[in-house]
Amino acid sequence: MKAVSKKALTAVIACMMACVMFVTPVFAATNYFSKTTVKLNAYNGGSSTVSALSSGSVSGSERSITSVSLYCNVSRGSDPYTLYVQSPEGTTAILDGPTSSTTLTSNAFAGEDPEGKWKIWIVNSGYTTHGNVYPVSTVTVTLKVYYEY
Amino acid sequence: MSNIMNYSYLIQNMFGEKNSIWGTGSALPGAFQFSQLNSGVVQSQLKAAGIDTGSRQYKAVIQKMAEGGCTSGMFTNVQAIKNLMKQYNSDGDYVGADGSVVPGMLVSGDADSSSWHKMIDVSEEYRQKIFDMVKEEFIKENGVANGDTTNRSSVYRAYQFSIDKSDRLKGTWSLQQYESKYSKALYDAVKAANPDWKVGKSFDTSILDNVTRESVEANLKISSNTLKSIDVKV
Repeated sequence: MKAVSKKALTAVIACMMACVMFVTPVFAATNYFSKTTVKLNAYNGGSSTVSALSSGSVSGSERSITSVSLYCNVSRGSDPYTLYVQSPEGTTAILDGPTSSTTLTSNAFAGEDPEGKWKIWIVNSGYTTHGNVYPVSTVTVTLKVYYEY
Repeated sequence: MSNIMNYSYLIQNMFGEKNSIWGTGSALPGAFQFSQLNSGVVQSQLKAAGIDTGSRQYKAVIQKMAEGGCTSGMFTNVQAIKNLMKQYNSDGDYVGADGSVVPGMLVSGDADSSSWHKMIDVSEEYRQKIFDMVKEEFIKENGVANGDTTNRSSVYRAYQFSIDKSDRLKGTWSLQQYESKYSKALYDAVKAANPDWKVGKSFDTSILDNVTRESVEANLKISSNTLKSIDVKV
């Protein structure tokens, strides 16, 4: 029984070594950029200003976004809102805005090229949960875009 | 200075309905509980405010509010609905306050993008436009992909409006596959002529004279949901 286990173990190790030797994967380099919006303020069903964030210079010639994270720094007493994030290619992700500070992630942009201007804005949902006279939402968003090249 | 008056509370009184009570007990003009939306009083207020309650814009807004968590006991108001409706087009598509969202390009934040990562035919016109843009910017920026100066968003937007709404996500993915390959071909051409060249350093632009859209595409093939170079080195 022990001999069989030893043989099996040897076979597994040999197999793994063969994999390492002949099927070494090519790892893509990775990078990210991070930008923060101005304070986004939306009132009574209206839209905030649109904050345009440039990727700046990005690395490589064939780039592909792996993930996007959004840290939402929400002002106390904010009413519900919707968060919109638009990539340079025009894909626009719609997210339920958190009413307390938190980080959201989105895979909606996976595979896109991050180069260019990103746009972020919020829209107040038009109803209140905080007893405000009119609903109001205020948030600052930090966008982090991770990509490989 | 103009003075904007809200007469909705008068309409409420006219219909003999009890005013909505707001927080401390004061009546807020134009405000009502979401559960009262379909009542005669509120519907009259909406119509008096110029809202077409049969329009797709209105229906899209109400649906979004309900899905977003506006429960029956929560308070909204006529002006909020009006403000929200301004951000939708007549088909009920969200386009944003400044019209920056192209219908068909709006997706849920937790959507799986692989569902629209499909190659479809991209017109020669837009393949050429994106190639010209990539080449021009590559030369101007010495190979640097500069997010501050690129014009790629406007090319994509124009392309999206040139195709059917239902094809826009897939079309954008397909166009980007071409863009990526054009960019790589330009980089490879400069690197082949000058192996020591680094991105950001100037180069002899005549190196790129023979790199055309046609020459790049001759070495491409559609593989699954992406575009691949034929001469893949193993």
